[in-house]
Amino acid sequence: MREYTLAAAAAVVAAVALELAVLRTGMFRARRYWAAMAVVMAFQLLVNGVLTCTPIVTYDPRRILGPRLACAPIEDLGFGFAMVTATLGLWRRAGRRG
Amino acid sequence: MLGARVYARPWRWLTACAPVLVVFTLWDYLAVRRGHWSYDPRHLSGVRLLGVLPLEELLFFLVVPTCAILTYEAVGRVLGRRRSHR
Repeated sequence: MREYTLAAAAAVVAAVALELAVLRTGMFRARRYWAAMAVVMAFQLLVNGVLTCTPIVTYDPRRILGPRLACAPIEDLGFGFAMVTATLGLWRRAGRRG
Repeated sequence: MLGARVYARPWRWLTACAPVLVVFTLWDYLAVRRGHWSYDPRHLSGVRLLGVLPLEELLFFLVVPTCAILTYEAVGRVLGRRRSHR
């Protein structure tokens, strides 16, 4: 079964739900969130290339869809998106007074 | 350089990073155990947490969220600065 695909998709949904239903910081309407996400994703592709072309990290082809970006499975983008979205949502929430 | 001032707010930094570190460490632990991915031991320090998770992975989960926050604050500074010039 493509478990990493499922896990990455679930993480994206969970991170978006965390912001929309729990934290409610209005982050998805903020230009700086998307700009920061673009910067982080660009560096993620660079680092993914180093880690998976080398390869330092090896993925089980039975657990992923197949398409790859900079040697890494596309699922990694979901992993990264979820991690950054959750972090920035919590950061914004923690910065809000009251 | 861009005056992100993230380290000047350690409690806020911890509030944002700690839950992410815990959840993604758990994910990584399960993924390695289930064989989703594996690490070439020649490129690792050899220190493994709970006998599974490389120390490097834990540091990754601390460094990436921190860099995301630094990027976010720096981008906010740049966007704000541009707006004030208009």
